[in-house]
Amino acid sequence: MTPPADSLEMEPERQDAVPRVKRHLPAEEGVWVFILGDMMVFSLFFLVFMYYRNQDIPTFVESQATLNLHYGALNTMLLLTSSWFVALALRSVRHNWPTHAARLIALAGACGVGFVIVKFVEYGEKIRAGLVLTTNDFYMYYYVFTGVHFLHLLIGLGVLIFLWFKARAGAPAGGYTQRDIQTFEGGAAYWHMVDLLWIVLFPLIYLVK
Amino acid sequence: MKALIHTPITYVWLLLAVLTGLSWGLADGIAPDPQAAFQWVTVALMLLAFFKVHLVIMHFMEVGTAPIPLRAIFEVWVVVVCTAILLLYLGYI
Repeated sequence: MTPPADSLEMEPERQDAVPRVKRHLPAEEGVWVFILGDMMVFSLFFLVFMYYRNQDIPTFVESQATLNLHYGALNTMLLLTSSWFVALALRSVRHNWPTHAARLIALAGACGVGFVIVKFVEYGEKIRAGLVLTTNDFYMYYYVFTGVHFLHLLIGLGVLIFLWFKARAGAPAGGYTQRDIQTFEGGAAYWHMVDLLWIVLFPLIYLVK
Repeated sequence: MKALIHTPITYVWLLLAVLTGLSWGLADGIAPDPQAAFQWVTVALMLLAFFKVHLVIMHFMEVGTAPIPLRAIFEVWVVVVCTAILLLYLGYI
């Protein structure tokens, strides 16, 4: 089996010209509109959090000290690793290796489930300690923003299950069509967005001193 | 499977994991003593986070090889949001 070529292909424009990168839009345009819209909403969350933090820094610092940063960091690792599995799964689909793709999507899903478990443990600890949505502004933002992100993650797990079934069904005769690949690309891009939003939420809520 | 893993994506994931470990250690180190240059550690942590976001967008989401307008929108988002958060944190806004 020959090693797969990378998706970044070089396309010489003229024989004497410097080769330039062949640009490719992964997924359908609508997926990008949705992702960018979601990222805009989350960027507002980030700024709202920082603005209200500035209004009452002692409460935010004191409340933040009750969070366990190891849970947040562990979840960052889990999402980064699941993103890597999804990126490799997409590579497998492009090379018509549905068995590899299905396994990698399952591994990505397992990391996602790991995130869910850590989050349940974390929320459980806080609630048992009497730290709830109404405790103060910090906890309100903590629950709302991590909760909205959690909802995105659950939707992402649904997307991964759909892609897993699609990969398990195997490649059609003649290989995956452009449309099939676009479906995988769209699901992968959404999952990466869930990852990158957590990469910002984690330091913002758990680490900003 | 070996051929599948031998890709720049794997190196990007390794770099992201190392940077996360670095942030983890840095944040854990300042937790008991928030007076020790905490402000600049926070700025460093946010810059590291947005660098990681940049890597995810460019390499995992493949925006780095997407058409220029899409790439530009993402690049602007990263710079604007990171700058706004830091300006708010440092009290300039």
